[in-house]
Amino acid sequence: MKYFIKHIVFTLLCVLLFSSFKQNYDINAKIKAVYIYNLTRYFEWPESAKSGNFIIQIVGNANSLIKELNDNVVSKKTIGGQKIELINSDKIDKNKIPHIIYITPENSSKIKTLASQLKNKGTLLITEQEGAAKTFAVINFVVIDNKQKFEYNKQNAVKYGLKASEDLKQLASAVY
Amino acid sequence: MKKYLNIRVWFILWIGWLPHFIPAQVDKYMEAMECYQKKDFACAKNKIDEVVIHPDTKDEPAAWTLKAYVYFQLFKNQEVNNRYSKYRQESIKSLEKSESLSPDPDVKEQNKKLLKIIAETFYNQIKVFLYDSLNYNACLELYNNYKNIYKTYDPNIDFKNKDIEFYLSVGGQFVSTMKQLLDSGKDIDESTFNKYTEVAKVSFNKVLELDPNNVSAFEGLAFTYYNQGAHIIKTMSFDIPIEQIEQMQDKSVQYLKQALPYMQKAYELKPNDPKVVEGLAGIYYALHDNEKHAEYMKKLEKLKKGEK
Repeated sequence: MKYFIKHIVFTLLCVLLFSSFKQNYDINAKIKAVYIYNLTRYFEWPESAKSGNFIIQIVGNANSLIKELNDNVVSKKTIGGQKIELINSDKIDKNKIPHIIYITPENSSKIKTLASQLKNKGTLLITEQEGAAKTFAVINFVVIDNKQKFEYNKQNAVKYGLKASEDLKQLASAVY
Repeated sequence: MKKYLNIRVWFILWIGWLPHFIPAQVDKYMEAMECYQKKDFACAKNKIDEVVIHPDTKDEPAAWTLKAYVYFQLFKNQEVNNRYSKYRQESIKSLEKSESLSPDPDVKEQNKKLLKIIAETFYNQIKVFLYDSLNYNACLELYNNYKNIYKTYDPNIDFKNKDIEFYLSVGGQFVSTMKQLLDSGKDIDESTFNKYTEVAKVSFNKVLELDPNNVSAFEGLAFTYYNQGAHIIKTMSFDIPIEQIEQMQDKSVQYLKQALPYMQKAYELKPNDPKVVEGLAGIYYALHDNEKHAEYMKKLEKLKKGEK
């Protein structure tokens, strides 16, 4: 007996094929971006820096961080009523002195040069290099127990023309 | 006329001539068969429905078998994605009825054949509910239906490999969806994300119960925990007070550290699998362990170049 059943049998479900683990979403970049934005609450910039755009400059290749800042800070926030502008350059534009400059670890060799150009200009210098908080940085990102933390140098903040909140000392993993 | 006679002869050869079969009902049966062969299943349904309720033919196994085939075709044509298809249910019931009437071996063989196909339709439907709507409960229900029916077809079947395939597919799909959500810029609903992670964990753990050295299950669990850790950071507000950033990281790191041993186990089992090596590198990156991250990225580059 034939009932002429034509039936396509799928014997297999889609066998597990994970796509590459490589995540488009960089969680470390998000953490840094949240720190960078939140640190602005603990500093006061000189009067001369309170008009125009609030400039955040990134030195080095940090695409994920730049994306985070663009998507969540530049387009959605203001700082002290100022619009935020993001610059990705390793050179200081005299007409666009940054309010914050973040130097990637790969560009740490430029810290000294950039720091000398920014003295007393009202710039929060953020680095990610061992020992940098003891020399030129105001904030230096460090990793402790698999977590992103930061060291703080209050005296450097004053050198760059910033006033800092005393509360920041309690939040930093080390204070110099 | 010739065709009709052929069918009649074939029919007689098939079920044997039964004296109590009155000609009118045999004709009705023949008409149903003819409609079926012409693929006019609505017609076949009308005819066979009459045959199986008629007092003279209601206990004829072949009639119930034909009804099962007709209803199965209606299911295929009209309700192929309906997990509660009444046609399919009726087809199963008709097969059960046919079997209960002690059919001859030929009919029995046809019943068995259709039963296997029906079981597979449940399995095929899992794809719809897994890939289109990510409905875990529906998938599980369909899979259990598949197994129950298949057991009737083959009581000695061992479902171990099929179970592994099912749970890997479910876990894999839920993990992939989590990754897509994380990679997209979209906001993620917390409860949905948690539900996905639970389904993935249950599924991969089921696989490990069946196959303790299943690399894909280890990878899957590592992915799941990693995604949970990443999700905490992804959903962290930019307005969060600084002191809470560390608390969020604490939670995230807990998950990332749970992901690590699973990926390490996968690496132990498959050290030259680029996906596993990349997975380890990714977890170490998230844990800010730059040294280990660099070590595995270097290995990954070598593997991609064909070196070991």
